[in-house]
Amino acid sequence: MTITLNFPNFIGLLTDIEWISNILAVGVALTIGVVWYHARVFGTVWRRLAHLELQDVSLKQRAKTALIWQTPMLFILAVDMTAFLRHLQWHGALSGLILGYNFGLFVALFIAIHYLYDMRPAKLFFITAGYSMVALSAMGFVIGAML
Amino acid sequence: MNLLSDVLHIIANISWAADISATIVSAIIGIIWYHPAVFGTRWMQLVGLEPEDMKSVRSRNAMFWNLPITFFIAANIAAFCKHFDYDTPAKAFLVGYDLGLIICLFLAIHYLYEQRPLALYGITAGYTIVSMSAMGLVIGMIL
Repeated sequence: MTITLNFPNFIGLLTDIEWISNILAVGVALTIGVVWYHARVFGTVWRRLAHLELQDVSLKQRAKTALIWQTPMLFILAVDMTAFLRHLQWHGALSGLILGYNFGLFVALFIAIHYLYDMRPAKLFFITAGYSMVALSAMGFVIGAML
Repeated sequence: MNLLSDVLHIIANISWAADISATIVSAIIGIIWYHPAVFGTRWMQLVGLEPEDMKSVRSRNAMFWNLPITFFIAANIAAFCKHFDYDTPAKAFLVGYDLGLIICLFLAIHYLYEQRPLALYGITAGYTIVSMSAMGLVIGMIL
């Protein structure tokens, strides 16, 4: 299998957007975030470790960040992940899960390097990297299953 | 295409020369990037660390873990490049850049919710994407 770097082909990977699976994947990642950072799950510990006050993480503030920033960013990630899966000719939920998990691994490893040098608590790293890995794996699973 | 045999094949065929070179390049970029004369001073100030913290056990821990983690990342980039048959510097650079982009997007989400300063995000994500792209380039040159 030899794939040449064909520019129109490359653009096609990005422009043929799988709207349904990508939007669904973003929805899944956001839902996981709501559960993961819920006050009863990791929310309280996370807030204490990140030195945030209660008013800093009000529902309004979180909704604003989620809507303006997180949703478009997750959508770019979903499009990118679809392009990778197509390029690899990987189909199915399991393939998607492996790719998403692998992406999550990249994110978690780099977060580890930065958090180590920033001397942030290990627990904060596990909450942050944990969300990244679970969310990306779930996104890959959804996209792969619908590809 | 058998997925499991693909994955095992990747793990069994690590390109040591390419991956070790990429790790060294990433470390050199880190040393320059976080040098006090470049972004080091600003970074220390934004994270809230003192110069004496740089001599602590935790700082040495960070330096100790940095290399194996980076090697693991390099091996993963090389696996992607091989799987794509992307063995030229330009193509491997693209893979490294794209994977760096993914990391930067997730870093952005976390830094936004943690309400860390934008300048700190710029330094952190900047190092991440430059280092990932450079690692891809080096891997492509040696593969």
